[in-house]
Amino acid sequence: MKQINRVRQNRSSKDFACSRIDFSQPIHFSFNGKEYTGVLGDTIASALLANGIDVVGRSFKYGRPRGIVTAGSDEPNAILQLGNCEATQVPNVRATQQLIFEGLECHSTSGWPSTRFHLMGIFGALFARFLPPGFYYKTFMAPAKWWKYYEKWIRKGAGLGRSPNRADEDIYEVINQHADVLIVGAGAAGLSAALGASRMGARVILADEQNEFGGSLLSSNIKINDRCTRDWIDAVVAELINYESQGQLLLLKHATVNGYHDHNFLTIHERCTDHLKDKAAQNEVRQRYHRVRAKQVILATGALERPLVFANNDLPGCMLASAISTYINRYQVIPGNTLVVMTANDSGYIAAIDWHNAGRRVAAVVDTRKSHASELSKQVKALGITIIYQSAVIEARRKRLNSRVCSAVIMSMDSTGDAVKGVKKLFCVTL
Amino acid sequence: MFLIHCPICNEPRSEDEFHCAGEGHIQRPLDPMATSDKEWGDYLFFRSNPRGTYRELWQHTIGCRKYFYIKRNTETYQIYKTYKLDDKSERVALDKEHSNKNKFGDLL
Ligand SMILES: [Zn+2]
Repeated sequence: MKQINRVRQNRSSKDFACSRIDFSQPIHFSFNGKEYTGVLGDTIASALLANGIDVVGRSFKYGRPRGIVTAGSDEPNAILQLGNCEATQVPNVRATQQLIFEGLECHSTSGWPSTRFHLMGIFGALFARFLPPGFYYKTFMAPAKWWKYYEKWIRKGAGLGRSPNRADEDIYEVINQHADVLIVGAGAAGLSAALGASRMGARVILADEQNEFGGSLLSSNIKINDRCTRDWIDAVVAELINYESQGQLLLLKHATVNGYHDHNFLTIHERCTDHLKDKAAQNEVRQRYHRVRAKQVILATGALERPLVFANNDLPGCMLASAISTYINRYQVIPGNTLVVMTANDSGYIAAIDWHNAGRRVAAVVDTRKSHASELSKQVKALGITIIYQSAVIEARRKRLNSRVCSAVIMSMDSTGDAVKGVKKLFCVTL
Repeated sequence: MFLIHCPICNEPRSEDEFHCAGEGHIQRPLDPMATSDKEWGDYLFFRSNPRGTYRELWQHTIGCRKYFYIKRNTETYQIYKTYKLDDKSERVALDKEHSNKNKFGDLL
């Protein structure tokens, strides 16, 4: 399958100087038994989006089709089963965090018999009005003597992931660490903090859950000192690596700080080889658990975007605005053709500008606020993008059962934001 | 996990080297045979379990194996100090708190 959603290389490549992927190195992987091609630096999510894959999973109960929503660890839908053989099965890996490597095999964790054709999805659609919210599969337990027959089908139709039934052959390790300063998150703030602390001679640990240092800078095409963010990140990381070679600093990528306990005791889960291969080499550690006692802790974790609420906002094609910017700027992937942005602040405008600059159409920016003239909204207007003020998307619609968003229903709001009036329909593919 | 300064080793060590032995400064009745059942029951089983400042007996089980006291806050987990068994200053402070409590009831 071709990477239909990839920004073509020849097209204004200078705009993507900050991109972190390498087109010269194609990587082949399989998703639900089908072969796809991505490039070096892609996560599973960005590669699937590049290949135009909409549905990556099914909702837990009703089997509604679900697409990729975010570009980070907050991903609720793209949760996959990884592993090329029984011993290396890893359930519930977020496609937005896992880098692809040659020969990677992954499957949707939910959605038997297949993600596109789903038993519960059809069931849920047919019998939706008989299934109260909060309905549970145990409803099927009566009559009890039948349960043993349909349990295996229902269990198969539900659930997330499965554990391997063979022993894991990889090596895992636990290390006790001590530091003057532990910095959680390596975005602009975290990198600056690490630099400052290292220059003062402190013993520093810098941990970041992403596959590269840079945090939100990786998703942005803003300029730092008239140069792209990548240059700034590379310069800072180069200096930090110098400190690391002196044994004063520990840089941890692919490392999630997963606990902040009493008296500055923190635990870090580092994935050493998961992004490179299915199984670690002989005597190589696959994952490492760091138990850190720090004198000081700096939380530079950044912020997560909260999804907006409207009917059918779980349809494939509804994404976070920040995720759209990330896929465009970092992975050169535009997840769709036509975009409608709904926003309550200026950050939604950035997604619209990125989308437009990537060469695809922005149908409109729907802003819940009253008309205003911020710098970003002026930029958006200058690009010829419609802004609909004091309005909200109230519903996303689809054409067929398994298809992605095809239109958005927009209504204008009264001054308090309590009531809506008037209906307008906009065609879009991504929301 | 706590970071506990052992007053005997004179070093901060991780909590998993220690073992908590319950409330500190509990005095065994000098003549057990002369105490009433209530007094003996209080001594054996009843602990103050406050929300706030608490003095506990701890043992550095996989270190020096010595017992010592910790004065800490059960709400914030802050450790105010650790001190040796022969340190009488906290005993005095504790007696003062008790007598104030008797005087003013639960106001304090
Ligand atoms: Zn000791």
